[in-house]
Amino acid sequence: MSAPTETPAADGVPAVAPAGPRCPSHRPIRRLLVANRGEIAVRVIRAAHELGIETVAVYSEADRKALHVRMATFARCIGPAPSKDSYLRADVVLAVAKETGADAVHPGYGFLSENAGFAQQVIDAGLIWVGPPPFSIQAMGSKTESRARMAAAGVPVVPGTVEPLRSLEEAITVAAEVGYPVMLKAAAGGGGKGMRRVMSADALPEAWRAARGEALSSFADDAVYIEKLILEPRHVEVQVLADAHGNAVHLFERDCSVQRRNQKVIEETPCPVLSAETRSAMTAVAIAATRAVAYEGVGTCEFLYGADGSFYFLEMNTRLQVEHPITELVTGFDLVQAQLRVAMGEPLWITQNDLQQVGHAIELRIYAEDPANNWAPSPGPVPSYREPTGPWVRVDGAVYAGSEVPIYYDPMVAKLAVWGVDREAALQRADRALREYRVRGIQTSIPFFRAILLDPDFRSGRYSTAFLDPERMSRLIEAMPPAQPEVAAIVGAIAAYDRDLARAAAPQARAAGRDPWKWSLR
Amino acid sequence: MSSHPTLQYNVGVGDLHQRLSVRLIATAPDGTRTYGLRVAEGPERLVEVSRPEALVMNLLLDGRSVEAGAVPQGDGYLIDVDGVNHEVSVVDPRKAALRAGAADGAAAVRTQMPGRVVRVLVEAGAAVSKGQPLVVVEAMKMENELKAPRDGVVARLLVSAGDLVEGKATLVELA
Repeated sequence: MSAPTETPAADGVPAVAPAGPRCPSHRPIRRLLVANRGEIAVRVIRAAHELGIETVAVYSEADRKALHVRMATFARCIGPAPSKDSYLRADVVLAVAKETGADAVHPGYGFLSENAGFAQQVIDAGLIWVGPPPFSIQAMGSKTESRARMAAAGVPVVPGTVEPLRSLEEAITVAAEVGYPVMLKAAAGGGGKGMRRVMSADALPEAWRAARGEALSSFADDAVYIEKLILEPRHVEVQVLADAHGNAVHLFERDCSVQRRNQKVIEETPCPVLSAETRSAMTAVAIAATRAVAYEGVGTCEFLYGADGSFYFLEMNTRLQVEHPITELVTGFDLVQAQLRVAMGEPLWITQNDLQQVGHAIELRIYAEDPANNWAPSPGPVPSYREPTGPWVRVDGAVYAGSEVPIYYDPMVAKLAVWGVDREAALQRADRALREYRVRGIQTSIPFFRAILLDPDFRSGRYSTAFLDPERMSRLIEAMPPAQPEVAAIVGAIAAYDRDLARAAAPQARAAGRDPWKWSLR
Repeated sequence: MSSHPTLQYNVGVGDLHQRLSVRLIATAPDGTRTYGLRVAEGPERLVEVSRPEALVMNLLLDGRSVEAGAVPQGDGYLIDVDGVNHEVSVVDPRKAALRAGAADGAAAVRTQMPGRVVRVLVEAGAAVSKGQPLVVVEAMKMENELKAPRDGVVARLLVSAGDLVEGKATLVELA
């Protein structure tokens, strides 16, 4: 699950949903500025070009050779490599949009995508914001506000208190109301500090003291609140789509329980353990949440799904989701084109009955990290690259032979998504695609995925957000495809031999003072 | 037909250290080459290699088709075999002797990955003990401490805070 973020009220964003009809007149987009980089910028550019829309790429000084720059109709440098000096510069992005004659801005995910103030500035500049209204972003951006709002709309939230508890007596009362097991959490907390699981009432006094003490020493604030502890939860989310005319549909669920350090690693749809009844209830709740904040465009409602079949609203992501491709694969519905058409004011051209979940899709996030080396970042040049292709294999990436993974940004370099007629077929296809995949020059999560696909608990579909615990992590690292040192040694010797033979045959290079032998000795 | 030299290499892959001798036996019109390979004093093994793309070899090893990439890196190559990466050091034994003489007793502290130097924790001339953090390098929002591989004195400090460094770059030399 993604970390909850507290969004401060942004200037100029209305505090309530604007009254009156939300139906704007139809405004075509002719030139779209894509305020992002990497694979998602490429994805948005593709959708725009399919709709006959020109694109403006923005890029940092580290991204001049990036694929999104090469693919766009126009491109502008917006500053130095660090994102705070480029991709997060709302003022520069807006100025470039005006200068280049763009009539719309697509934020992708991350960066400025959930910045209500930026969305408002885009709208105030007379441009189309390809995303939900700033009001909706704001309403869902604050954890406490969205929770209160959802509870009022009848959406189930994890039972507990939002306000800190004052005394042990109050904690005992609240815990009894919520029902054991419960979790004590430091109000100022994060990173597991000041958190205590409490399985029964007799353990509460001790846990109360411990959590408060830890909260005080870690955050200089001993405020603690209580939440019901959901045992072995799964992270299941529902994709929604709403237009500006009051129509809303859902595009079923995605299971994103396979996570490492709260970072999604694998997503699949359908969720392997969701019953038809629960799916129906969960998607209905997602539509209710969508309507409660006057939502427009694509969005995602995240739920905790307990082993007992209960589910609770976590938060709404008011943007295109990284893992949207698997929804596209099982529904045949293009979510990014839909974003653009809804932003142009088009009423939804499909109804709920038109949407069906066909087959099974799975996405594996390819990270530039070294699983065998404690997941150390592995940026750098990728001089050689081969993507898997063939039947029902899709790669959303921004890597090519000769590209470079910069040190400044997210380590996710590509997403491999496959479709199969059922889950087993999808898993087999995922394994085949991983065997074809070559990202040379850097380390990636590919060998780790090959190990996960063989894990019996993953194959059975019975896993929770605790799946990648430390013990399983080390087992999976052990189970990665084995090295073949003898073959690698032969390849190394032949590569060195060819290099030396070529150097011996090119004496002019030495005469020119660029002695490759000398160079190799440095 | 011109004859090609036989060259020897000390090849290291993890725990495996081998002396391999290589000679080119034949080159086909399409560029496919046949090599003779010998591990130490063992029997010669024939390997047929085509190079379908830059940095990529397709080997026929006793009929088995193996695709491998070899990206030059440091003292050797980053080599993938069936999608699994191997860090391979390849040294000409004659040059290895030269180098050993030149770098006698010195120890280089290198970064494994490219990144930005966040902090330098020692000064030139300082005495350091094994395991002591020397430099902190950041990449992709993660900080990595580089530690002294042994006791010694900081002979050369090659970076300062804020510098961008390449993967495998030497940051500190210990005497």
